[in-house]
Amino acid sequence: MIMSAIKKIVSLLTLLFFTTLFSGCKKLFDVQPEQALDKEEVYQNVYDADAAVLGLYGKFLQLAKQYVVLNELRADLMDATLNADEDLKQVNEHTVTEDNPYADPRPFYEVILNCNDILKNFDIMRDGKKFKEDEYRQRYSDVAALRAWVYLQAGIQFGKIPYITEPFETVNDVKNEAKYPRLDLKTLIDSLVNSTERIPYKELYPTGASLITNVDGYNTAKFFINKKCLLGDLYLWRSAFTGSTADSRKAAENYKDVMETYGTNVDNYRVRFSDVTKNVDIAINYWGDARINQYDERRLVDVNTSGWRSIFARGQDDLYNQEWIWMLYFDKGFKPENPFIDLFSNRGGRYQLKPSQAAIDFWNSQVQSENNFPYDARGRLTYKTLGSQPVITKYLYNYLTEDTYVPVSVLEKPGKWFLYRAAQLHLRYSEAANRDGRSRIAYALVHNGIAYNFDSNPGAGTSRDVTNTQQTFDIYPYNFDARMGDYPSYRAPWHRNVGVRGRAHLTSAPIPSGADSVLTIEDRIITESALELAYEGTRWQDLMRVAIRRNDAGFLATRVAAKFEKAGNAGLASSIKAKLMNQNNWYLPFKWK
Amino acid sequence: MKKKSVVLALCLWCTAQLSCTRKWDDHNKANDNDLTQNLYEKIANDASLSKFAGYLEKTGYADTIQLNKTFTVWAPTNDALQSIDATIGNDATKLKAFVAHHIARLSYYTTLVQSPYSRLPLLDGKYAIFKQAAFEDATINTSDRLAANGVLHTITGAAAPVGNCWNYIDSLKGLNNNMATYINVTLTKARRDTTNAVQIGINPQTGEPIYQKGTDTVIHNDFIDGVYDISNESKEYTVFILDNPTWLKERGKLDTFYKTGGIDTTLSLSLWNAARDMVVPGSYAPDQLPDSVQSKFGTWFQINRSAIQTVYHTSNGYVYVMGDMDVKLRQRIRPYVVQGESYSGTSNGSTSPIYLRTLINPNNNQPFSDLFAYSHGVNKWYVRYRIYNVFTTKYKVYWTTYNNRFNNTLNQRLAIGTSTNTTFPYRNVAYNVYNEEYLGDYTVSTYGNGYLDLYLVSADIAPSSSNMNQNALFLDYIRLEPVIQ
Repeated sequence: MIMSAIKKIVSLLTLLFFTTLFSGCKKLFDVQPEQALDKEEVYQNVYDADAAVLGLYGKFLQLAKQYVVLNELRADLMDATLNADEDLKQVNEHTVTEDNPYADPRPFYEVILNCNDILKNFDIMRDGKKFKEDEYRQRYSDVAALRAWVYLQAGIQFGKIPYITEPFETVNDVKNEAKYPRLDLKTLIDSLVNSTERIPYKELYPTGASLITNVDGYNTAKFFINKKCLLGDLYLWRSAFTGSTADSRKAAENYKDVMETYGTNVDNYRVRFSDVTKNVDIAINYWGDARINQYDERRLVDVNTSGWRSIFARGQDDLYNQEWIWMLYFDKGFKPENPFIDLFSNRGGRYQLKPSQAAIDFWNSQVQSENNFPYDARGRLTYKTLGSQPVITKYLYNYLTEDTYVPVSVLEKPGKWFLYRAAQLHLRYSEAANRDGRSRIAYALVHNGIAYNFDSNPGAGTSRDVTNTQQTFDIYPYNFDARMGDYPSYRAPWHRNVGVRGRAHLTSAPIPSGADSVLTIEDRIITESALELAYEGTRWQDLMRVAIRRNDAGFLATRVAAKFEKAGNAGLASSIKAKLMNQNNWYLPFKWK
Repeated sequence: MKKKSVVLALCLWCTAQLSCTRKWDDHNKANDNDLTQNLYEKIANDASLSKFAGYLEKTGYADTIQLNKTFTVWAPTNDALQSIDATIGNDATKLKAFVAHHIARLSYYTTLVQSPYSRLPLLDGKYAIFKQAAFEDATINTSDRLAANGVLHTITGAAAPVGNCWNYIDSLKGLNNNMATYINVTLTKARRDTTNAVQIGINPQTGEPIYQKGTDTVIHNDFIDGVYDISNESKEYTVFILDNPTWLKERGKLDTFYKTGGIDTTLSLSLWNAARDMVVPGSYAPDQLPDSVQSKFGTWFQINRSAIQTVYHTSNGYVYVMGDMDVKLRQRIRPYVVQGESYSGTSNGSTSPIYLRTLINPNNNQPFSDLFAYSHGVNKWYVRYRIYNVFTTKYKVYWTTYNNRFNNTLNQRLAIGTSTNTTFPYRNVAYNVYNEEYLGDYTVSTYGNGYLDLYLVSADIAPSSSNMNQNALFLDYIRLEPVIQ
């Protein structure tokens, strides 16, 4: 009796033991979740497709930190502070080891594989007639273009990478080198040109498309990659490898199409002049009547709502649309958290990165037009000296207060990822045009505008007949009409263009006689990109592309070395220069862990 | 089956046993005997510290260092206390200060002392120098002995508290040193301050409050307020006190630069200006004294080491009595440079015609900032500048302008004192020329309230929209170079 009672207890206990053991194991109770969808159920209609696209861009946002750090800190405009951690120091000094998180290719491939998966499912949806052909083409092209952009970036940073366009289950399949051979950058770009050229839809989402909506208070119209900017960039890169003027022209065509996105609108994407009386502009400007007040430094427009600084700070309004082509947001309402505050701010952040002395010297070697102030005011709007430390504020204007520069709220870190804008478009177009025999147009767009440079009598005013002047008289994509005259009246689409330097209130030196105008202008385009686009993630790419085009590693190496020279570290300068003279050392180690 | 159940029971028994042992309690238990005694118990149990333990009892600090806070005690051994001043042991106040000078809040270990030394706040409000092997001048005997509420070091000498720089100046006054008397007595003043005043009524005539006598004034010292607070124990200073003949000579050199209506006023100004340069921050021992130092007011002066009469090592630095101190006049009577952009007003109060610029000096390619004024629309419109503490002497006056805008006659002039003063006539500001021009001499004959106004006056022409290029103003800086005979 007792024995059997013990037996019963023992068996009961054993049962209890095993139940407990297995209770942590989900498979035992594999019920379908009530509030989540299984993979096969996700893609049912166009709204599911939209959700997939927006989710993809959310994932894409995680690349922002890596993109900016790799493209800026490896180049010459950004430097590490004493607070910088070991990983950033390695990036800065070109000694990246395999375990450095900034050199991890995985985040790139997570986006890529996400794209592959979505594309496969879009095809399945189309086969199942789950959305309309137009809807399919638009979304498919968007995702394919974003994938190409990420590939281009991964190629620029890692050199030889596996090119995979089919979906598979886990990210780790990337490791399989036998299945996915690695392409070098040149071959990769060629593949990307071809595949992107084949995408079925290259325009923006049409107005009324379900993806153009408001998400967390932001309009999504400029969330999505601009496929023609991408194509322009891809052709520009290919032309750098091949020297092909046909590729340069294809790049120029794509860029020119983007310039004309808004048809004949004279303001949007045309880098227009400043509004000298009302200050309603995104140019370097001086408060009040800028024609007179430009002589007072204190009246530089330095606020979030007007002038050049507002490009980075303002909300999505008309002036925003004059400049922005592609931008994504960081907000307290969604992940990921804005990484730039921690990197750049000395208030509420760790202040790990700062403007290099080389960058500061670039700005301070410019001269402003008319008032002759010996600096580029864009420098003063790109970084500020806060508590005697130079701080990159381009990314902080929505986080710090407008004039006292303290965090509006320490817990909220609003910010943006600056991906493409009009000035960048004009600089890239000029780079392409310059290599397609259009140096004069390139000069005009980078310096002081089409009208002035193609005027038979520059500066003669509007009281004349300009019918046969102020135009390029060239074929597409080099046709610009900048006429502005009153007898008869002309206000042509490009009449407000003043060039990137013109908008920045800078003087424009002519090309010295005897100089090679193509090389001189190309040098100036690259320098102008530094002044205008500093810390927006273009610098390393720009230096690399031109160095490749000229087959001159020194173009990149000397500029990067100058950063260390100017920071007072001659030893590091010479060792880094020697290292970067070898192209193989431009690339990060591609290690899949 | 039986076997299985036995195994199971064994397992259960083991688990039960494991959960019941106090292994972790044992593991965490303090088993260092040092930590069972507090600081006082530790001192009391050490026969070689019995004297200090007695002092602790006597002063009440025995209770303090038994508190549940952390302290560090540097306890002098009985041998060390043999040699201290007998008066300390008999004077309750002195003894209290003495004992407190050996105790600090928080734990300080010799292993964690900063190089070359740490300066730590003690319970008596003073600071002590703590080195790896010494506390003040006393050698550390045993160090880093742990106690439940802190750490104990024993020392083979006693460290009696000494006065700070301010206390030593106070005692120099007793030795009839005039400079010390000036700093310590003359500069100590009463000031009306009703912050903590006790109101005892209201004046029926005026309605103003009446305060209890003595509560509505505070005593302050101009030297402490205006130069350095040399009574602050947490900072260190080096003070130079001149002996009476040297003080008379140094002060006398300055009289001519502070001419006023009254001898007393001049004297007070020259006294003040002679005295204020004689302190520098930092503690400089005789062997560390630099050849020359710069005061807070910008005056460089040489230190004649052979003229040091007495050295006092104070609790917050050094006081030197000097038999010679020859501060060069050109170090004290320095030029004034007035920057164009540092204006203080305009003739009609409007600052909108003022433009501040940064430009490149064409002579050396260095940037400079200047003032440009334009379109003010007023005949003889001016921009005003003010400089302070202006010495009574003759000045050579210069200005530097850069007219890079108007290639035409453009007259402006400098007026000193009043805007109508005509010492300096109009001058044409040449186009595209950057250089310093000598305008002439100007003598300041009386010190007055010490400030001097300078006016940059625009051309004497009736303003119109067509001559704005002729009555503009340009100024990089004005320089007044004192002429020292």
